[in-house]
Amino acid sequence: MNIGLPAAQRILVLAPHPDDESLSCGGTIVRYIREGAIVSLLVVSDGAAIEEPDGYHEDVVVIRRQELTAAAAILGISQLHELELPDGQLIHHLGRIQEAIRAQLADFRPDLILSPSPIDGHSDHATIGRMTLQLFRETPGWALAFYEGLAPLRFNWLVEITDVAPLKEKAIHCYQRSLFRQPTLFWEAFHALNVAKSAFVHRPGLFEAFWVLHTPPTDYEIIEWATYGFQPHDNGQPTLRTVQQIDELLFALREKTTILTHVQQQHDTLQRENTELQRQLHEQAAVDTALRQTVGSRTQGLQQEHSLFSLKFTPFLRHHVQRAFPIGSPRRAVLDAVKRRIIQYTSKSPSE
Amino acid sequence: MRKRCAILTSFDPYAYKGGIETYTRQMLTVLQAHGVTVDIYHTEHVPETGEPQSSVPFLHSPFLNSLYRVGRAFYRVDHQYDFAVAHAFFGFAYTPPRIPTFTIFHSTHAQYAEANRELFSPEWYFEVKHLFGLGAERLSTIGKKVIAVSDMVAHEAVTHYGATDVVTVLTGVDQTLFFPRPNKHELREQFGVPPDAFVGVFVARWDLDKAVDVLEQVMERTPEVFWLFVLGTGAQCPFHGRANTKIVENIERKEIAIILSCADFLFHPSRYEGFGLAVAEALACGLPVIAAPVGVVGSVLQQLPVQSLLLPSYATGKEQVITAAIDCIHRLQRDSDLRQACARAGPELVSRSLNLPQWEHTLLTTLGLTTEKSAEVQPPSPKEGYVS
Repeated sequence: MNIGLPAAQRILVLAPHPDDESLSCGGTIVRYIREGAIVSLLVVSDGAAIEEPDGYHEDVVVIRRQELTAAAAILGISQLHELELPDGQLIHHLGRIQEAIRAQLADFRPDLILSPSPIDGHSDHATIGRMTLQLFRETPGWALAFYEGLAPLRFNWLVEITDVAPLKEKAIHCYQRSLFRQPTLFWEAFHALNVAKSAFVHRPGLFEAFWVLHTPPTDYEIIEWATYGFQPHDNGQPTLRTVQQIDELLFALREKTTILTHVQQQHDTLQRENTELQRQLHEQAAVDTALRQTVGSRTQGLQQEHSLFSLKFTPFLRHHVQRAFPIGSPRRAVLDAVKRRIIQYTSKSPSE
Repeated sequence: MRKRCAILTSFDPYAYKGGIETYTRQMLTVLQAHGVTVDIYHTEHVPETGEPQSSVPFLHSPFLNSLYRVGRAFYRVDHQYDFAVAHAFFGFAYTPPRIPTFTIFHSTHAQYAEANRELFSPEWYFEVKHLFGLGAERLSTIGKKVIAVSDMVAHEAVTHYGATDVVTVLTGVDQTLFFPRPNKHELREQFGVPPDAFVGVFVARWDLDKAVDVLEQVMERTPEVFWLFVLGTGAQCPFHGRANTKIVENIERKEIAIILSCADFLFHPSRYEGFGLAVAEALACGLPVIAAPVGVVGSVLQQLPVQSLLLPSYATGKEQVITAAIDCIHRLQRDSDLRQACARAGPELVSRSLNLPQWEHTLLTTLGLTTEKSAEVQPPSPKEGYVS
């Protein structure tokens, strides 16, 4: 049993109807906001299916929206989204609900979602709970806390709301029409639920209860949790797990085989490229040898010509250079600098 | 009050022509005739549960995962039915069964994998034996009554899967379609088969597990035989356009019956069969059958005086099987008495043990839809040209 706020900074609250957020987790919302967390509230239905003693009123949707806005302000919720899907028929709008929650996951990026339970007795609540559970399985990376409706839920986390209970009470009292013009009755009912939890911690106080999950449970784990381990005896379960394990093994084997095949293909390609490269190198070496032979004979000829030229014209050139570039002149300094640069790039001495 | 039954299978029985689909259609007819309302669920028709469907697969194998979805969805709606019937491992994920559930084993994948282990990759063997067989098929026996199509399959279900509640319901042959036809020459003309040829017929998929490698070698060594191939879907046969050979593919059952009547013998060397419907149908047509001792051949055909046409087991070696097959063909070719004995014995056997009304009655009794004894069932009235 955990007591305290589950660690979170960005909390998405899913309310099937306007009022569920206040009744089920109003105190927890206030506590999170006081701790500096950001809370976004997504209300899914329009609340139109409410039964009133004097019949249906066309303005009920508008009124419930006003009540929601007032309650959200009391709780301190700054981000409020309304889907306005038909109350009581959420099971027929799974695509829209999924799309809206996915959008919240992408845009708001919550680290905790507070949702009704998938085993709630109200079909709208159960629909939201099951959809959230499905998304939890598909896109993990956040924690999920199922909150209580009127029927108690088996919980593993209690959040003390004693200090903030007056705000919860005030928020609930915003819902005059939503709560059949008897908000006090509902406050007392949920107050009683919250008080009852004090028996679990052996001290007086008010506590909101949650089933907090950090990893997605299987259907069987949910049933096991909700029924305290009671299940119809299923001899097939161990074999079903075996099927899953064999399937996993086969998948891993196929993945490995695919990788090995890919590596083998890459190895073969590299080997082919290497062979081709070797062949090209051999060809290049042959060309180089032929070139060296050609260049070698040509260089020899040039050297002979150069020697002949040097013998004939070196004294003549030296004379003219000394005249054109007298020693100690700036022109001579430039000439010497050029010579030094030439020496840097050639192995021959300037005199040569 | 009408009873309601759900059939869990893999593919739409009206869109495919496989053996299980044929069986499903026949079973549907029988159940409906007995006032049972039947819904058929398969991978393309999953029960409606009204619940969001997870897009995260439970299993990596797409086929098995589709079946898992069918089974789990059926678990949500099973209270709407009085009983369920599943083929092979196709209903494996319906667990624990909360209504009486029957699993029909047309074969066992565990034994099928063993029989063909040498032919395929270790990966294939692992998948067929362990995933389909010892995993999904074993799960299909837990808490469910197993209906085996032959004693051999029943034995395999017990030995491989530890099944405890097993009953054999021999598949029946529709003798209104499969019966001896005296006008062989006319039929041959109709199908373009030489009137005086000695004709062997092969009815199966063109696949290694059907021992097409053995067939090819036998063909090479019996050039005097004209071969008719009646092929289902599967791998391509390489003998299109070959002399002394005719191939027909994807045909209706009525035409199969006529083609069988064109031939002098059925060659069925398959390495593994659960039942071997092609063998039973050929027997019903009065055709001598040269076959490996598997399936119904293993449990029923050995009672016949024509058991000399049974091939040795593959355990003795492929060459032994080929030599024996060639010997059987030559004996049949020269021994008209043997051919006539087969023509008499086959239809009698089918009328006695493998007829459709018998299957229907045994099946209904097993499903708890009738309490009468199956032994009282009468064979169908002989058709024109029926040899008795």
